[in-house]
Amino acid sequence: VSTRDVYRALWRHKLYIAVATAGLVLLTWYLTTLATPTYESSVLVRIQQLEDGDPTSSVYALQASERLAETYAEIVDSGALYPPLRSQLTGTLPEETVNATDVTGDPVEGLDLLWMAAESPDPETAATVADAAPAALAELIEESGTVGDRVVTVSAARVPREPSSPDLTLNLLVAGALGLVLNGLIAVGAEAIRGRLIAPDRAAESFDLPVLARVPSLSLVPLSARPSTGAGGVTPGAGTASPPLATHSREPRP
Amino acid sequence: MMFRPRRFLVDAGSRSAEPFRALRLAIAAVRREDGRQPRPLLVTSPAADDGKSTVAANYALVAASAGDRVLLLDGDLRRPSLHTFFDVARSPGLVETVEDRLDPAEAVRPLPEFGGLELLTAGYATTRPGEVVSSRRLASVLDWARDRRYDSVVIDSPPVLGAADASALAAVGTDVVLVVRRGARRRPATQALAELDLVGANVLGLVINRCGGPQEYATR
Repeated sequence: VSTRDVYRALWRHKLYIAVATAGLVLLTWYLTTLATPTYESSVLVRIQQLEDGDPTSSVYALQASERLAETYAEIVDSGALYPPLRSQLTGTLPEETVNATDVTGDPVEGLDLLWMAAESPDPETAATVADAAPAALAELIEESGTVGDRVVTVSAARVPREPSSPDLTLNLLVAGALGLVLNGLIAVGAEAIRGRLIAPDRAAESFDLPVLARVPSLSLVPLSARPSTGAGGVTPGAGTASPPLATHSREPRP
Repeated sequence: MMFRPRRFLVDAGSRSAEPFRALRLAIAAVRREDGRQPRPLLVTSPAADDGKSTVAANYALVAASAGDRVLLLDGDLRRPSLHTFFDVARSPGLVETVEDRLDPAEAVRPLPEFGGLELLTAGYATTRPGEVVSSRRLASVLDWARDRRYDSVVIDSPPVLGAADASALAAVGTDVVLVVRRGARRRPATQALAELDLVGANVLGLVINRCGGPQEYATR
């Protein structure tokens, strides 16, 4: 299959591709509007290790804090933050709401910073949980007996105005692009399969032989196609059907 | 429930016979162009159930209704069907003329209700269909038909790819029409044509079968 064949197949099926892609985009829009919006609120914290007075240790302080930020991000992702979060938010949010809020950690590469994000269908809840996350992490650190690490809030959480997901624009763009590619592939595939089948219009060209006749499906000949009786020198009722068109069944003799 | 095979014969006077009239004209035109004398017409197909027997029977019927003397010969000894089209006994037929050396004139059945159509059925079931169709005796049956000065001899044969019978029949000096089904895969038809080419068959052209419904052009 040459590039030209592909181009021809795409051009021949342009209407199908356009309609099918538009259909996919519409379906994506509909499903996106049905999806529950999720709001994300984030807080940025610095993880500090208290210096022990040794001047050489300060050289490696940043690297150590960076590694700590990565470790705490993994701890947050593991779900270990929920118990201290619940205790921090006692009286503020019901436990079920806290449990239903997705809390994740994401270290800032090359720095001793850690993003902690809370996702919830309610923007206020997301901001409240995110705000409580640094204190909950500090509580977790304290409970673990680590005395040298400190969590300092750099940027407080804010109530989000726009949902973080679903992203309607992104979804529509992806659906449009996928639709074009998939429907294009279907069009090229269909063309390839059709080229392997016998088509009346292309049979002569395919086999380099004349098409002598095209015979319709005789079982499809309508009853109205039974005009005259006894035309063509054939005695009706004797062998062929009567009236003229015979579409009846004959059984072999026993 | 038992499957009841349907056999379709058109009425030569109706418009459902048009495709077969067109086929008759086309074959005549191709032969005129070739400048050859008409030879027995072998109707075959790449695979089973493409409709070759239906095309052969209706072509013969339409030719006979136009005033020709036509001999329709059932060369498909493996799954003969022409006797069911015309509701006659299967035997005696071709096998008897070859294996029992029965005089073809005794086996051929005139069908006066179809004009000048005569039918030579397949005959009794044989365990050696390949040998029957490739025998010298079969060639002599065709010679007999030529001596009888039929305007047209039409042979219904097995599919080309199903057995070597069709190739054997094509090799005894026949003109071949290949019936292919619309929407069928092209590869079997290509293979069938290659096999026919190997035996030097003179393929006149194709008949595309099951091309949807009939075309409308009714008489006012």
